Amino acid sequence: MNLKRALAYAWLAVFVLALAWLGWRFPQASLETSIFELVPWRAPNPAAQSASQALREQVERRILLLVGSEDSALAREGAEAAAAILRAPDSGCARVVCAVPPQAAKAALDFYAPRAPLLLAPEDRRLLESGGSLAGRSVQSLYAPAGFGGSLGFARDPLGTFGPWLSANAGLGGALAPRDGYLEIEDQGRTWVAVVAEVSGTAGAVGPAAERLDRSLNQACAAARGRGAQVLRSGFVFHEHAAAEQARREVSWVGLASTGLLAVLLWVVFRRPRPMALALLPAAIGCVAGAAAVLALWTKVHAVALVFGGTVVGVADDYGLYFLSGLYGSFWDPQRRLKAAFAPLTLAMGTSVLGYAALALLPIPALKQVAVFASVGLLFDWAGVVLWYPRLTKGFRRVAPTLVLRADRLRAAWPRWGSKPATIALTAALVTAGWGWSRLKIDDDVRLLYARDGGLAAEQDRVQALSGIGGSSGFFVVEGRDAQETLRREEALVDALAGVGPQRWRAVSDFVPSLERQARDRDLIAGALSGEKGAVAALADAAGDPGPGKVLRRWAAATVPPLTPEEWLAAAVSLPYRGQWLERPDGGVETLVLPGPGVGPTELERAAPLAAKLEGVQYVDQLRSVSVLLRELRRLLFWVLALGTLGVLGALWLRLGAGAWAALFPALLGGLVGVGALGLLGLSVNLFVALALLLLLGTAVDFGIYMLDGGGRSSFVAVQVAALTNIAAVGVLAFSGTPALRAFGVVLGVGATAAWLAASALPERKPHA
Amino acid sequence: MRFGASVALFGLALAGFHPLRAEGSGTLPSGPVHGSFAQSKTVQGLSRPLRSVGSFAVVPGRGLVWRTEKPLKGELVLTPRGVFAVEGSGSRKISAGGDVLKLMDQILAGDASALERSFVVRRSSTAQGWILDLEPKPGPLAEVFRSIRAEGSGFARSAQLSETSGDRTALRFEAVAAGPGKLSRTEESLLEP
Repeated sequence: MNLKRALAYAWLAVFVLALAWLGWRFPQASLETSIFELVPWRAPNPAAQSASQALREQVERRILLLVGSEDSALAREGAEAAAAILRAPDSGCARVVCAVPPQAAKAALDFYAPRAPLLLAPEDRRLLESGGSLAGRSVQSLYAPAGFGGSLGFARDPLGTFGPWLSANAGLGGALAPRDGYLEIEDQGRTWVAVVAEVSGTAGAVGPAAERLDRSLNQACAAARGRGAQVLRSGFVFHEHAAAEQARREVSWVGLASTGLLAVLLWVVFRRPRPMALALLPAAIGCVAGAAAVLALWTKVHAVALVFGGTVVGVADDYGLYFLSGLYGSFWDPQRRLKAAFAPLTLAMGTSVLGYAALALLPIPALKQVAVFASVGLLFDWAGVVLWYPRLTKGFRRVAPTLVLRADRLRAAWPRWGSKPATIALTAALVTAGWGWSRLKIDDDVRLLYARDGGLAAEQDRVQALSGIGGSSGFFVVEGRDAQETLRREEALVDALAGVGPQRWRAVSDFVPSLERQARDRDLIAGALSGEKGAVAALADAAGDPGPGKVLRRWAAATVPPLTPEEWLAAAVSLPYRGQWLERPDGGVETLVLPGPGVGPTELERAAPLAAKLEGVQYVDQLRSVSVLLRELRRLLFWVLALGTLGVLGALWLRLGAGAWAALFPALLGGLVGVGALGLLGLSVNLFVALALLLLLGTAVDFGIYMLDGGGRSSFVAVQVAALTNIAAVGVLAFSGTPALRAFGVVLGVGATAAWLAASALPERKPHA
Repeated sequence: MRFGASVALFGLALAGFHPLRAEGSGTLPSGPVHGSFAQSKTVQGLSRPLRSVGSFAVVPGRGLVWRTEKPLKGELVLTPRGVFAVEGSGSRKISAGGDVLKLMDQILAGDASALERSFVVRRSSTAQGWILDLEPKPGPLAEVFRSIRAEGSGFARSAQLSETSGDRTALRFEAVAAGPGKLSRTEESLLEP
């Protein structure tokens, strides 16, 4: 007796501690919302891992605003206003670029122009390698109208090769073209001016730094709009903030909505505040304990895990309800009730905890968090009910059985299987489900696990369509023992990519070719000068004067020190591309070759196999790899589901014999109808649907068992109320903004409803005494 | 970093330039103009200037055709969509459009303020006609041109273009007349709006 008392107070102490700790920890917890954190993925090797990590950080930091108006001056003014706000020291933004000072273009020209004899555009290199001639172009540039053929003039670019090199590399910025110092896009009479910035430091998705950043971004957009311009936002940070905001909203909203529904239900059942409160309490206690455990074990908690874990606890927890359903008995003695209820309670808790703990076996941290949340929450609830409820329910009066009698009448009137209305309803349900199934599609895209703000997504798509950049997730990592080896390997890759399509890829070697290539290009240029059809002879011919030929020869023979990566990296011209260059501590160098404008999924698919043929080259598509992982897990889970169904059938058979089919029937029908509803709603099948079906199997089979093998009135009430509360708790998820959670909620909500209705139509067996 | 053709060709637009039109007096027909040119280009590092001759056509709102005929054939078409090199019966885009093309268009259409926005403009008149001195304001034009001078009576008769590279081009326009002149099919399709 004393031990029990001590345990009860220990439980209370732990709970109070957990509550206090949660209250202190939750507001400052770093709620993770990135899809990549949800399903972490290991690259095939460390190089790809560190490279994709680096790239991801760059991409996740990038902010691009397009400020547009039919009046280009107004668009520029708006862009300047937005940039001014982002430039403020505490805006949370860094490296804000709007207008490029005119010197910048000049600086690039000054840096590259002296190296003109070392640089060839890919097309010109191919032309010369295949024995083509540049003589014609050289003559053209000599006679071209003022300034035409490049701003260097004939003396500094007599072969006309520098202009094409420069514009080949300038085209890598997509449709964004510099005009009067602004990066702009012209589209259907509208001018879009780009404002580019970076998230500074580690703002994260929540917390004061994130709020500050959020505020300045909003102010910047408002400032541009205030001048009559339209603003399109693009950048991970916007989605991250929207998702975090939504997750926060849903965490409280899902909890509130299901609690509200539960309260109504429980009021109907118990008609008195104290039993009602006690029936509700475990869900709240379980959520506190579960959340505290998850926040204690992980420093980064995924928002989806909290929403999901809370739901699972809400669904699975009916211990208090079960204990209190004894109030429908012929008398109320808490200690006797505990004696009677202890075994079923423990059995129910044990199987649930085992089931949810099994989620921890899946290699997805967020699901491990769900597993811990649910297991700890349920275990703690069970302990609370067992230790405290006999004490707390002393002096409760039994509930008048009017409701039960009413339920009995309803049940007597409810159509049984085989009756005409039941057959009609079943046929209708099956036809509707069949229609839904015919429209069903499978989609393992990891982005479904991520709430996308519709308006933001549309803006992002528009930015992508306008600029032609940022649409693809695949890229190449090139590694070598030193900078030159990496550059040579990169050049081999870029040459091979030219065979994939006309689109360009962004590579460092576009700007700093390997020493080998610079020397070879120089030889190619030298070869193009001499001979009967050489440029020198052609110039002399056209001008009737050896002068231009001499200028060309002098230019080609001048001493030009080769361009080295060190020099390039130290110059301002490399600034936009430095993120593609990664130096390893062991002296090795990795570079990223990124898809340029217009590279879409088809090109990526054709480009990917090149990695296998080239040395030191890997293709990485994190988004796709993660989706592939999800697909494999989904398949695995569906096998588990099939085996589980067979296992349940076997277990039912042992107890019910041929009646096992009838007990399983509601669960099967629920699954069929639930998945059909997915199809009707245009949602797709994925890993979370498999999870929902697993939970549905566990819950709905119980309905069948209890109805067939019922244990008297109190069990009947418990089952009915438990079913309704389950439906209420998970059904709420069908309104979540996250597609995967929505699918989960629809399958469980609709499926459980169908299963419950179907179970109610099962023929009654004689209840056990 | 898109230098080159679109900027450089601005100078050529002077071929169809008429100060009255630019000042918006509207007494002259605003239709197309064609004619022939003689170019003398002084290139850094060469002792003798390079001479060439050819013809041009300017169609306001549509673009400009610049054909070099001697000593070698070469042709450029400048439109608001970009600069194209005509090769045989086809064409190749060399440069995208931009503000410079817009500017050219505005000047040809008689928008004097457009000229003032991009250049420091000095006008003077002589017994024979008019002189226009243009000095580019900082921007893409200033990257290429040091100064531009045009002279004429009625239409421009000559132009001198000094480039930042040190090259100088002298143009003489002759037989300038209203109408687009004879356009090839390629030219026509490039000039279509």
